Amino acid sequence: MSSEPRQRPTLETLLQLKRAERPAPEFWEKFDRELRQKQLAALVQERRWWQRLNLGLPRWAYAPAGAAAALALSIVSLHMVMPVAEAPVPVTIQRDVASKADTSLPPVATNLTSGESTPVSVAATESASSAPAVTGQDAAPAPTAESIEAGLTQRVLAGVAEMSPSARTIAASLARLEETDPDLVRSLQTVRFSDARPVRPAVEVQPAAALASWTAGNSRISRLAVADIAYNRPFTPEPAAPEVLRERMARRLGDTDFGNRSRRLGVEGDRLHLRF
Amino acid sequence: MNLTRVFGKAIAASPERQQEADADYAVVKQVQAGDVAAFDKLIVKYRERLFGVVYNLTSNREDAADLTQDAFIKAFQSINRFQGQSSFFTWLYRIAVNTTLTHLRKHRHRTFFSLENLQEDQVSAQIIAQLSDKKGADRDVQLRELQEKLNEAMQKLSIKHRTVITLFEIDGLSHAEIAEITECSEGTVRSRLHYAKQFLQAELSQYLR
Repeated sequence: MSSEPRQRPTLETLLQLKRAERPAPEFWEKFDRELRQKQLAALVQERRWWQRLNLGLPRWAYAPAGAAAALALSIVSLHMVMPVAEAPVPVTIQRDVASKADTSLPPVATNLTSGESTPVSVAATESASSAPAVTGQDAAPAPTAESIEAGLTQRVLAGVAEMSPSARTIAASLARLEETDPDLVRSLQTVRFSDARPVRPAVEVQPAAALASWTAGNSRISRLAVADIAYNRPFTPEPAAPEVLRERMARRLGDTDFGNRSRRLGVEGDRLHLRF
Repeated sequence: MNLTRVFGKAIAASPERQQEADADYAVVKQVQAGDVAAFDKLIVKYRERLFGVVYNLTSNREDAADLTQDAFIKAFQSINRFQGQSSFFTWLYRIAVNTTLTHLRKHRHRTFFSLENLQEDQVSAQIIAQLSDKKGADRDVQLRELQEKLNEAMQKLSIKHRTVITLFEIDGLSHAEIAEITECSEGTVRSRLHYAKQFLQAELSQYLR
């Protein structure tokens, strides 16, 4: 035991042992064979396009070049997206024009319903000679998104002279557009910024009267649009569900029967069902 | 004086190394000219050294064989880009080391040894005597145990430290060559080497002086 410290090797000696860890000669035969196969496969294999790409750049320049390319791509895509982002400005003005165009709409006979199954009951008056005027039970309706928009557009109209050059240009373009293609401007009426609340009353359109007063002297697209509105799409912001569906929903929502509830719950094996 | 370029700086190379580098470059020129078979000379010349480096980095014979082959294939595919700014063997080593490092990083959590047998004729009797005071089978067992402990300790080192100590202590490369292969400064190489030795010394303290 006294000679043990003398026999302990140094780290360098131990590391020399690693040099002796070598494979047997037969290992190299297999190694060469496999390498040959890989080499042939590499010769046959089509190289990827980016591997063939020789930009002639030094290695250190790859990262900056890649970053610059990514930045350029971002800027280009941002430019492509920008017109969409700028959309609200023209829409505001168009909305204004559309509200002006309301007056040129043909008189549509409306029949305002009240006290029916709609959630908000509205006491309405009938006006055959003008655009549908809603008179609620409250004389002064609460400010809605629509009224705010209308106020804004009036302010814009009133201050055309004080408008910025770009806004003036847009207004002039719209005026020109109104002269050349009033149908398009009219169609912009349907553009809404947000849902108006409180809910407007449902308007029952009388198709015959609408068509009679409107189809003459208008384009085919306008006639088709009016026909579509008149026959198929009543002016309800929240279209009512079909009667059968409404009834079914009411039955299910109002169902207080415990037996029915328990039937909705079911256990099958390791699963728990809940039927709606 | 013969010079080898490392990161734009010229470093002095030994005449033997320079002669070897020139000979390799001549073969590379042949391959670049279309003589694909000439690449076999380079394979035969460097396969054992390259395998040794990769094996000592991975401590796995099968992985080492695959990675060495991959390194040769990559070198073969990229041979046209070799301009002779560094010696062929440092270029080849760099490919092999990078391939191995990528593999080790990818399979960080999958480590198992598959060790080569010790070729005792490769180790001097003096070293064997230092490592083991036993004879016959007992000595083999003792040497095997030392080998396993050393490999375990090596695998505990970080990849960068393991690379440096493998290239310096086992493959016998200079600091400058290691710096060129690992693409760092010589100071970094020395620092990593110092740390790696300290770590191994602490890990194997019960076996070492």
